[in-house]
Amino acid sequence: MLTKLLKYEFRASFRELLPLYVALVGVAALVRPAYFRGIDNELTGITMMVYSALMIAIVVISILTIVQRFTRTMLGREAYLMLTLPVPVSVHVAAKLIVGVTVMIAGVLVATLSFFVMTVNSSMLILLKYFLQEAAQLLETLLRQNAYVLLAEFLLLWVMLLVQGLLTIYVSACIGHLAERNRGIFSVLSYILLSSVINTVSDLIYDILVPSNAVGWSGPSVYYSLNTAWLIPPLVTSLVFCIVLFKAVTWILENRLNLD
Amino acid sequence: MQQAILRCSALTKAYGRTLALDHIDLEVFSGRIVGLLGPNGSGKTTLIKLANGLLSPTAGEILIDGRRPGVETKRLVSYLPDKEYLNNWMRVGDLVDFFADFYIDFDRERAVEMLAHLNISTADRLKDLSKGNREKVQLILVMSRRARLYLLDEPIGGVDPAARDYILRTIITNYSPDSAILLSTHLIADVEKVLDDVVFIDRGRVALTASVDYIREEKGKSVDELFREVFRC
Repeated sequence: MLTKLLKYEFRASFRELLPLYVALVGVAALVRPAYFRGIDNELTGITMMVYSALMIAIVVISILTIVQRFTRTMLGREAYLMLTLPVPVSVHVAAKLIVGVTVMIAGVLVATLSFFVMTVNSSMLILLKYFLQEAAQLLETLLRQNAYVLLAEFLLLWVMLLVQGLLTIYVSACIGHLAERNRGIFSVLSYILLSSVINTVSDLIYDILVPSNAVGWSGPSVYYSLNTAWLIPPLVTSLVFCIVLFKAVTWILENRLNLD
Repeated sequence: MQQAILRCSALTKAYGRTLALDHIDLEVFSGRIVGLLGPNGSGKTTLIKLANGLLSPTAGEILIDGRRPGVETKRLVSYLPDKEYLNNWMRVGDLVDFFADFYIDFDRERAVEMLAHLNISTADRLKDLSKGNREKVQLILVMSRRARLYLLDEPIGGVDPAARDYILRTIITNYSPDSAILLSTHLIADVEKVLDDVVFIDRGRVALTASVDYIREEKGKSVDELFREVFRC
């Protein structure tokens, strides 16, 4: 059933985004000659504006798609179709998560690809490869850890945080749905409250588990240290939050659903 | 003794202080076409949504084939909501594929045949069809399943008389004697001819449960006449 759901979810989610992806890469290809020849005229300016507008459109539509696919199909008109299918609620939520994460990752990949199409040539590729190799060696020297393992852990953490973020949105939408009126406002307030609680609890956990004298970087609280051992607390914390939020969403949809 | 395919026991649904359903006791048995009749706001849609697990009861219970609404009961129930609920951007053929994917009892050939009879192409997008045709597509998809229980919420509301006749004919010709149909409407005169039993529901309570034959023979009235009498303003 998950595979069948994913088929429809991917189709519904990407039908508006795919043309934008193609347009973004196409416009980047149009700008490329002007970029390498240093041409700076009105046409280049307009093309760059179109490129920027497409980038913004992709970001906005991606977020809207992720939110609306959940609210419409689980709490809105399309729930009459989706929630009467002989499919467990947990499978519905899992399908939404998988597609939501894919939408976000696809957006990043397409943006990166368009940038490469616009700006990178063969000599730059060689420079980039050299830079990455030097950076990897430096990291391995500093941290005494394999750079690829470090990269994999960061990517895993990023995906975990994406899932956590999506589930926070879903739970907030479900909590808003419990209200009789002003559901949108309650959803937003729930999101703010939930995010604050999650961040506060995360900070408390890191304060306890991560020593203050660890090789550190005072960026966002989750990146407490570049040493891979200290990525384990945020990974585990995020995993626990994901499980709790997932169970909360499915419980509300199974036991407190009141479709208009 | 035959088990009811749908059983409500003291079923209650409250929205705040408003009781949409108030201790409903009801049984529907296989092989019967039951009309759930009542004025607007009487609780018909609420009851049907509870049977589909789209609402949570405040008290009491509702059982489909002895089970609470869930994944297993959704395999048995074919539901037509009182609103347009299909994705407008999808083609009719996509929707046929969708139903075939998720319901093992879906008869694709029957669906395609009925669509062809209405000159609706599977390549048509739902949003390009008229309102009446969209509603017919919804009905065809629902009635193309070989379900144990059909829950049809206002299937003839909002369509012209010719379309109403088509919908009622579709219900009768595609209904299996092993199944039950619970059909809600406030357009009594049109559906009376297809009903076996009626349930009058008023302000969340069952006002009357009887067979159509009993109403005609014992009370000497049509269901429509009795309805007007019971629900006189």
